[in-house]
Amino acid sequence: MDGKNELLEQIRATDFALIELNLFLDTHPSDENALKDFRMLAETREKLYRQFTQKYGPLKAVDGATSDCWLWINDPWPWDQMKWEELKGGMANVGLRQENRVPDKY
Amino acid sequence: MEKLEIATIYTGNSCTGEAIIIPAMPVNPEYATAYVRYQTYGKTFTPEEGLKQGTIFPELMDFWVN
Repeated sequence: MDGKNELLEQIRATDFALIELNLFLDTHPSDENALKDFRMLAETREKLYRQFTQKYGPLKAVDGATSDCWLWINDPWPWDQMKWEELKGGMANVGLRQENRVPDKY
Repeated sequence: MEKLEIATIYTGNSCTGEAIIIPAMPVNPEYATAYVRYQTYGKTFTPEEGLKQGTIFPELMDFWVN
């Protein structure tokens, strides 16, 4: 796994944990330990996200809004990237039309 | 007799609310009514482990997975 996928995986995990804490805090709005963990994770998430988008480009179209160019179209979208990684590993994926999706650089 | 499990909650959030103590499950449950035990915040999985397990709360594991 290269740095890009690793970073993306960390963002995924952090986002998931934040959703879990979000749901917990909805029913436990006074729980200070949960709130503390939520704040800490939100900060971590912010850092990871900034690190990723600065290095590898937008994860959402809106991340590229400060650029003069429309960055969203540049790279394979994050989920395409992951699917191609799976394909390379020999997994069948009928939903993905390889000839349309695989960029030249591969 | 079983020990009564209690939880401290606030009316509102921790900034505005007033603390009250409630039982984790109703003391006098009604017929034909479902209840969910009030969860208490404890240890959580790391985000990576949580994503793998499907929850960050170890106490929810038994029910959903085993």
